[in-house]
Amino acid sequence: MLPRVGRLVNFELAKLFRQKLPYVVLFPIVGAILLVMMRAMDVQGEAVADPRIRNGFEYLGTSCLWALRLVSVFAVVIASLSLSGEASQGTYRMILVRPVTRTDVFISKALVMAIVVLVLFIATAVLSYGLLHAVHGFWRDGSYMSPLNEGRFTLMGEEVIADPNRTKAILAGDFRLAMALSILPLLASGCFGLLISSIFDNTGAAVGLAMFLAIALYGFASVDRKAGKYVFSHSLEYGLSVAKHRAEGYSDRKWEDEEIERAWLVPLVSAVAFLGVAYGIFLKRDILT
Amino acid sequence: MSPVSITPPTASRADVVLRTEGLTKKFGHFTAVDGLNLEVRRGDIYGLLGLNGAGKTTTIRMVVRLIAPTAGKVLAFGEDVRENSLSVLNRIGAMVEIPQFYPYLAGRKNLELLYGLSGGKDRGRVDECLALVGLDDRGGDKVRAYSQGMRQRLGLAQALLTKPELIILDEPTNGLDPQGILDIRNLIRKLNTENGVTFVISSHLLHEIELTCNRVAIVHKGRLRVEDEVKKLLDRSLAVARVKATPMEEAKKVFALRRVEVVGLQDGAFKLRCGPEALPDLAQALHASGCEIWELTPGRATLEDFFMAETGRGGPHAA
Repeated sequence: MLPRVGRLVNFELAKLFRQKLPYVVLFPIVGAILLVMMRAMDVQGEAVADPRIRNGFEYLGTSCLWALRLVSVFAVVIASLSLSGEASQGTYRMILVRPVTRTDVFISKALVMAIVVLVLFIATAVLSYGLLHAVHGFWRDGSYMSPLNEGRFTLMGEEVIADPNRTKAILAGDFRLAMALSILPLLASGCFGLLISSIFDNTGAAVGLAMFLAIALYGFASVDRKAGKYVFSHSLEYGLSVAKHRAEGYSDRKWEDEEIERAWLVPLVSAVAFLGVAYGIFLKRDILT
Repeated sequence: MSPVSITPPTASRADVVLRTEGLTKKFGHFTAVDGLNLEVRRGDIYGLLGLNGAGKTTTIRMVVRLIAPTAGKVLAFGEDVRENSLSVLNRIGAMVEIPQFYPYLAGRKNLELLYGLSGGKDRGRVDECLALVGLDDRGGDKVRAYSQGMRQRLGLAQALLTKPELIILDEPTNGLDPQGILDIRNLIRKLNTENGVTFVISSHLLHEIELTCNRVAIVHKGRLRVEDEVKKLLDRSLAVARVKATPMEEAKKVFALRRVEVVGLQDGAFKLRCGPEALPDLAQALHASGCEIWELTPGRATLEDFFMAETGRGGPHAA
């Protein structure tokens, strides 16, 4: 099975690399969001003459949260095109008549989706960090941000307030945990897209419904915060918002073990369930297009 | 109505490349394919004939396991296609309906990817196949710029990639110009005679099937009506004559009285199933009954005549 899946992954990636447009569009959008968020925070700091110097982790948390929200929508869209795209184009007729099984095809589609999501995640993190330095870098005087290479995370006005709980190492650890917690919800978003994709032969219907449901679930999780914790995309919000609040220093928000556990468990279970149902549908369906 | 059984005795197991046994597909209450038993032998160019909606494409889709049969099974090279799909599909090339490719990739790149998917490593094979179908000079163009005929050729090329023993082509000449049709026909014959490749060709182009295939199955409303060698079908039962006589009602009575079967009506002339030796007597009988004879032409029937008779156009087995 492995050689066949390997060939299929290679096949999928070769197709993907030649479809440059989505990525050509996505990265400037992500970059623009990061820039706008960083700048907005900076301007806000100037406008209110905030004596508190903002630190890089605060910027990073906010900008990454917005960028990853976009990536999660993109993951849903890309994944919802995955199976339905072959069906609507009629290209299954070229793939499935070859010595590969449907299981091989499904695994390769899921793997490629995961690869794309992870690449986008890493790219977002790198881009975010890079832009942070470019815009509010070490060299820039007059920024309201405390550069990342300085340990002045507790600087208030001209005074450095001693706070052993908010050292650079601790905030960096917060940020790493938040980013790690963001991976599973992104993958779950992709699996959700695959599930919708396995149902439809029409890409428009698949993308439309997948986006609608993903946004509806996101809205539901924002409105009903208690039940929203069980929505797969929630932990994307949870990790980065905790990290950001802790970096700000205003809030006494803390990491809670139960929440952390839920933050990886809910998207993991959701992803497995989405994949299982999508696989079942894909295995049983007649290819009529 | 029972299927016509003029199929010769079953070939030995080793000779049979593809066999369907009681193959059935239902979509809800609609039965698209109903207990189909086909047998394709090694070296055949086997035509699968039927009207639109007869179940040809559904049958092919079941053979290459794009859809699952409701009942029955498909055996290729003696193995069940669903149970041993990998080993079976290694030996089959297929083009199902109008071939679809990735439009943003070049024709050559599409073939390279599909060849790689089948585990192919011979780098020259893709160019070989492009040359075989006459696309060697357009392989670098994106598929979105291809005409339907070029896509059809590319579809045929992808079916040839792995040098399969059995090639299944669904309407292979769709969208091709006359030269293209001739090229494809010659290619099929060449591969069949020189390389021993077995072909299954589904089509409703009767003339094309008659010219290309050695064996044929006629499928109507999902059921097998006839399966035999084309030559035998034509020799056995297709002596026809064209008779134009008036009044037509009177002429019909004469035909019925003399048990001459009316196969069809064309331009006011009857097409009769009878050999040239019967025509003098028939002319006398028509004359005796007061009919005026305007035309009386003996002729050799075509597969079209047989097909029309078998698919409910006045034949003895029509519904």
